[in-house]
Amino acid sequence: MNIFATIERLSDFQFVKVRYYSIRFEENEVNEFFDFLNRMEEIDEITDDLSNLLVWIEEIGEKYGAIKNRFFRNESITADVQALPPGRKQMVALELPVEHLRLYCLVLNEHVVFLFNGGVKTTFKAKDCPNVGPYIKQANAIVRKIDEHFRLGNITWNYDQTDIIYLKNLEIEL
Amino acid sequence: MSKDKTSVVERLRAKIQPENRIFIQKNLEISEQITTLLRSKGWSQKDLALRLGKSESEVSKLLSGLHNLTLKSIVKLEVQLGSDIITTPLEASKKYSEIEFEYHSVDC
Repeated sequence: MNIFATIERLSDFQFVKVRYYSIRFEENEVNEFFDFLNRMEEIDEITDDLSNLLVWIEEIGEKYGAIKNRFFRNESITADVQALPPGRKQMVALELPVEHLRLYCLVLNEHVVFLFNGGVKTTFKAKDCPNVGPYIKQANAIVRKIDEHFRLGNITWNYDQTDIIYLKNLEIEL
Repeated sequence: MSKDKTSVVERLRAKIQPENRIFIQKNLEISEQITTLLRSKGWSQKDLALRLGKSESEVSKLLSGLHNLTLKSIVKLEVQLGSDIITTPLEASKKYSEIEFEYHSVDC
């Protein structure tokens, strides 16, 4: 059975240089990023890492911009991305590592970032980890669908490519 | 406090300590400094990795702004880049006091 999700602009995470978004599955009360925050909040051992991650998201958003090759890494993730036809530029889910904490995201450009879900990594390879492995697959599935909606014109750039415009009530089918 | 979707951000932001903010700010400033030095030398992250004897992903981690950089690793970077990455305010004031300025009058 297919499930549907909608794009959510994260109103608490709109900065001078970066606008952050997430997606919310229709059966869930909160978007994936808030689900990540809610779950991680329960783990006392990572309070410091979670604080660092939040500050980092704010600082990048306010001062630096989301510079893909510098601030984000795609290690252990791209293996799960389906092959695309040659010459077609592919969108990939990236990883934000803070010690063992992992948050998966899509960097559309320096100004627009989707924050998905993640968790505490417990194995050497993230894709083998029961905590984060499913979120890597989920992130990659969402990225492929966002890519499709871009190609269909359901999601487009604003005039200076500092934000996105998308159809009201756009449903992403997974 | 109810755990609704709007309050989780407020709750977590309230837990952020000044040292978390300063840690990330300084970390990103160091990353910016290293990136500026790499650019001025025309080096890529791969070039730096080769000189440090590290993998490209290790260098990428150092520049992420999230890694807990040790003083030892900063010094190794300074040696390879041939330039200071961090300078204490005391050292900076000494350096700048040695600079001789020339003053010229400008007709407006």
